[in-house]
Amino acid sequence: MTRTVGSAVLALWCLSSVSAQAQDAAGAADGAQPSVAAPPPAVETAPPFVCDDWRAPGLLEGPAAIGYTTTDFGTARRACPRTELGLGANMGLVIDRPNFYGNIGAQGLVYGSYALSQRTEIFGTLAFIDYQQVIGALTQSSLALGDMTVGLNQGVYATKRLVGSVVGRVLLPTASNVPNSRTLGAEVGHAVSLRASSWLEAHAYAGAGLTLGLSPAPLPRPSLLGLIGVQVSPLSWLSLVLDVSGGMANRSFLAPTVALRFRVYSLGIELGATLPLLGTDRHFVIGGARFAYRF
Amino acid sequence: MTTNRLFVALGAVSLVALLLVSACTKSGCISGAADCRTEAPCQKVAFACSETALSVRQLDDQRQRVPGTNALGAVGDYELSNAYTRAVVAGLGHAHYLDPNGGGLTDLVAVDGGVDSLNQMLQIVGVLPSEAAHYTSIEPIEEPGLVGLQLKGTLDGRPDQPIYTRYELRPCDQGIRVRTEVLNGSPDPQLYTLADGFYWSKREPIPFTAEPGAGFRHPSFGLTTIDTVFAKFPFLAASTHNEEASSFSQVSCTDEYLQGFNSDTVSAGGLGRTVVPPRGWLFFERFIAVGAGRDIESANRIALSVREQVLGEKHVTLTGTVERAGALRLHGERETNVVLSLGSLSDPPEKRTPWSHVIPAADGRFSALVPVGKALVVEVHSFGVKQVEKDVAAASADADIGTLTLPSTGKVTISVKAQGSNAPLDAEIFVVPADEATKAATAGTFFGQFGTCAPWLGSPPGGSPACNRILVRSGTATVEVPVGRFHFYAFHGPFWSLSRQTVQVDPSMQALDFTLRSLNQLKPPGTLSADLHVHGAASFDSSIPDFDRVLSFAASDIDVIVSTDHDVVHDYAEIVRQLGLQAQLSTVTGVETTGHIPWLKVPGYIYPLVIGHYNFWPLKYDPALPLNGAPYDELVEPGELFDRAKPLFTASGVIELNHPWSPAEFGRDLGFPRAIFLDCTKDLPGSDDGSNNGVFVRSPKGGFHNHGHDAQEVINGSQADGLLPYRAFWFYMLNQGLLKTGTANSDSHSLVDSTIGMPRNVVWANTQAGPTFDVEVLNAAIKAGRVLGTNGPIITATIEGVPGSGNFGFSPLTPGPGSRVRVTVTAAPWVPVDEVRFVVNGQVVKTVGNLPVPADPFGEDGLQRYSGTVELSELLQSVTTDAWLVVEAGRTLLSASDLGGGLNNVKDGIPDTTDNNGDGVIDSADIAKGQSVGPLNNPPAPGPNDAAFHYAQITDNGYPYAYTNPFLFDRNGNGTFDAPGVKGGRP
Repeated sequence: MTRTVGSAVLALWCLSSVSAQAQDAAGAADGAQPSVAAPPPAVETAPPFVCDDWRAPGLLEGPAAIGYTTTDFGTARRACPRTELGLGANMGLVIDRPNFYGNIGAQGLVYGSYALSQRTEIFGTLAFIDYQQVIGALTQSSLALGDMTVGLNQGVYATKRLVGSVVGRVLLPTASNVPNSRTLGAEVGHAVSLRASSWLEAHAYAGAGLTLGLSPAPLPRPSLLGLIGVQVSPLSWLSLVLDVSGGMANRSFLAPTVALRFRVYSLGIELGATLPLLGTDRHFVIGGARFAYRF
Repeated sequence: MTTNRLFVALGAVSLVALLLVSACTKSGCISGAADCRTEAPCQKVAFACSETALSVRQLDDQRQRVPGTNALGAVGDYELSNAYTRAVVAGLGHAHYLDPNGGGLTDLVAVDGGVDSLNQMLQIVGVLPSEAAHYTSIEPIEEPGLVGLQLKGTLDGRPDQPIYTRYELRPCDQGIRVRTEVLNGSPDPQLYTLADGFYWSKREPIPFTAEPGAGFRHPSFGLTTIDTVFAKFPFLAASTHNEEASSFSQVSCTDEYLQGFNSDTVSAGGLGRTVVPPRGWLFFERFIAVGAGRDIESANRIALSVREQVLGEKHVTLTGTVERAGALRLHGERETNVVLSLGSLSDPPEKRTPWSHVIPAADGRFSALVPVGKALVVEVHSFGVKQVEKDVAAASADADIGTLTLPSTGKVTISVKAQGSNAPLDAEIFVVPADEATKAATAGTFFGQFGTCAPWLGSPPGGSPACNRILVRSGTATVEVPVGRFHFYAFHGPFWSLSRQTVQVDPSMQALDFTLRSLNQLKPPGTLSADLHVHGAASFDSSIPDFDRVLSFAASDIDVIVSTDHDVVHDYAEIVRQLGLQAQLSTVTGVETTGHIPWLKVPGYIYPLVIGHYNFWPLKYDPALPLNGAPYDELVEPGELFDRAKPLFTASGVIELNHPWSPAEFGRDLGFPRAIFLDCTKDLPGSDDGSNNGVFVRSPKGGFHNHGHDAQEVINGSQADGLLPYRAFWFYMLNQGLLKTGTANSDSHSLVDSTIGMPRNVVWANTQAGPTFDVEVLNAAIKAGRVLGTNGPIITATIEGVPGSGNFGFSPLTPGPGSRVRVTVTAAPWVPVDEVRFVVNGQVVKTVGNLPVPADPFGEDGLQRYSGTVELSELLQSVTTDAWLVVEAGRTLLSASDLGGGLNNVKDGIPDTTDNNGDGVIDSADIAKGQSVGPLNNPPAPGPNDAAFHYAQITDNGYPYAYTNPFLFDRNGNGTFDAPGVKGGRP
């Protein structure tokens, strides 16, 4: 199953790249049309960076921010650097009646990013609340400070329509809800954004990571993620995201994700949900909400 | 800062993290190292003594088993011992009860006079089967100053969740140290309540905890409501209620409180419920103290010493004296229980915190360790009733609270003899209040446990006197009885008269002489009486001493007993010899297999099941083997269990399905057909067709089918409270052509829950009790259906006008035009018989009522209640197929209807509800609130002027019922009995 999912993701990734390059080339050809070309300015300036070409600055972009692990770790990252500060919430629900197991997990997040340049961004997320409820023959819940991740997003290539970046992220052991252990992790990934038009963006992400415990039983676990998706923005205050992701984060999954994004001035809002259809992941649904102010 | 530097910074963070990981100590076994040792538990705890003896060994001889009827140690188990303590841990593969593969603590005794009363203590993280430890290795530990056992395994069926336990003993330990570690290696958050699970299983030790309003009292709960009863308590203690010296107390070595839940069935004491995300792990260290006493204090004073060392808790010793003028004895649980509670008399009882329970010494002196500086209430309970309570001021040093005086009781000496011979009889005495004032004054209970008795002469699960019952050995017994006016009934079985005396008991010596008459003419010639389902202290849910158990057999004048203790083979032969009963009483060793671990999935039902209970006999009693030689009965379907048991029979064996339609208890099914939602409105398929009925007929391993038992209970228990559904299921089986002998057993676990031999099986077998008894002959007769099941009435019935014997049984008869059934019903005068019923293919086709009532229930006249013949043509007229006939006699059966009860509460063909609101109609209005069907209520208890009153006292409000096994009629003449089917051969 994992191999199948990985192959599918790789194929989608390749198609995405090829399509982006083709559209980029087409865009270049369009730009050669004398009838629409503006006269060159008197003083030569740099062409607009691809990431600047966006429907509205406050409208969130890139893959939906919903993942299968904690605090955005193992979650696809957008390619374009932004400066923003936000609040978010994630919630996952597992209902496994045959095994008498249920889990409600929710995190309250504060997150942000700072664009050091057009191509470079640092970012971080802190789960200031991590709520877990396990429901079986007995039931118990816990509320604690969750994990924290920090990372760096560095653009590595850009054309008029396409931008790609390398993403690095570490998971810091701030969570206090794991008895006798703390969790660490690190991951790298590659994010791609294809700006086909001002209302259509295609995006993709591939990442790999590792988490382990700060305890006598580190139990290192790899995480893999492949994602491809599109964002359609018919209005400057509304967009729809459709992603398909697959990989392994504790368990394997292949899942569609749907998100709606709104913009109120510079405040971007995202409401999304994902539903694993294939794989060993037991989530009934994972949902999330983000509210980010873009500077 | 350049991008490269940022990436370097991220890399540095990761590297530091890795260094931190590598710097983690690899102590304990959580790392999974093959040669690991769990840290020594309770390192702050040390006891001083001059002893140095220490031993860890694997038992290699059955004689090494610790004393006590609950002892389970077998060859291959491990024992840790010092001069004070012996602890036995089940060896690998020695699964018991809830322990799936060994490693649980099965025996724990104080060396100086203690016996084992521990059924099982096992490591758990929850209440599901998969939340128990499944150990796969046990390694002895021998280090300077300590011995131990290192256990490694995983949660059962969860290989990604390892669990490690270290049992340890040091030279001066009066108890055992334990540390358990469990790791969530799964990818999901788990809920662990890492704890010791104690399996009491009723009628055994009752947990005692120091919580407000608790002590021995604990709120009831079910599997789905355990969360609501989770509590904190400083220790979890227990002691016996059968006068055996065994007391133990569990206390944490790290925390102020244990957390868990308690009931008379199970307890859990350990850590609280904890959400453990992946990679999290927990450890739990505790000391389990054991003392050779019959009260909580015997072990608790050791546990409190642990708390002093771990927490710095301070205690003082309170002493006192109990006196009772004219007392025969003071130092027993029935005579004197002292309970000390934190609080004051101005606090309501539910606000006081019971701290200790003490049984005084023979001279009435007692002492208890209590927290320093805490006000207390001392209560003294005697014969189940609180007689004294007083405030005790907070003490900063040891103190004496003076003398506590109890009211006097009456002393009654009982004599029971046989009329004519004047021979002394073993008998059972039932003491019944003769007026409401006496009933109210003497109604007692053991702190709310084991039910209420009036009078309460002793703990119901214990030895005689128990509840209101007294065993008489060789014609005599002397007991203390609270003052009041009582009926004393002398009972020696259904083939003897019943005698009653009504007396005012006062604080003096009184003598009661009873003479019973043999009514031997009631006993059909060529028969013997057998109770095929009895329990004693070897069962995990019984604690009646063997001596009293065997004496109760003799008191009921039974000929044959099959010992069918839960999951262990037990042999009463030695006690029979000690009592000199070997010439009149034969015992057969068997077992009642008892499913504990739910696992079986059936169509349409999400919850896993166990397969219920089956009896197997005869088996070899071999205490060198796990379960004393009984087959392991978990995680198999009935057919496979039968396959396992077959080679263990020492003669032609019998497999009996017990209480086939009994509801589940604590999530454990008691009867296989009900568990699997057998639909008795439909014929059984020829093979497994994927339906629930298919589960019943399939052969799981190609050997026995799941319906391959030989017999099934139709009456279980003296109250016969499951009779209607058991009877309906039996009739269904007969209609399916599955000829299972209907049996009638007491299933007695004590003197109180059921009276031995009431009911019983009257078996036409050419053997007799005593030295010449032949179990092969008995079993052959049982399997041939030559059994009358009865709790009083005796039916003799034969078919006249047919070739052959005309007896009931599984040999088909070929009726002719003039064939008829001749029936005679007799009973002792104290056994009421209202009617005789004729049942053909599952339906009552004729009832004869208005039977004569004997003038004197305590006399010897009026035995015959009915004699007559009925033409078969009359009985069989509504049936077109082969037919079976069962003759019944007894009290009129209550009407009951099938309102549901099957899968998704569809009707299953089994009656489940009586007319509980008395409106003359059985409908949904009769169903108890919160239930989908039921209940089935027995007839109301008869009043003192009812002819059935005396019988009801002997059977705890049971009602008379007897039935023959079926006559089979081969009406189509093909030489065999063809199943009439679920419609009974009717259109």
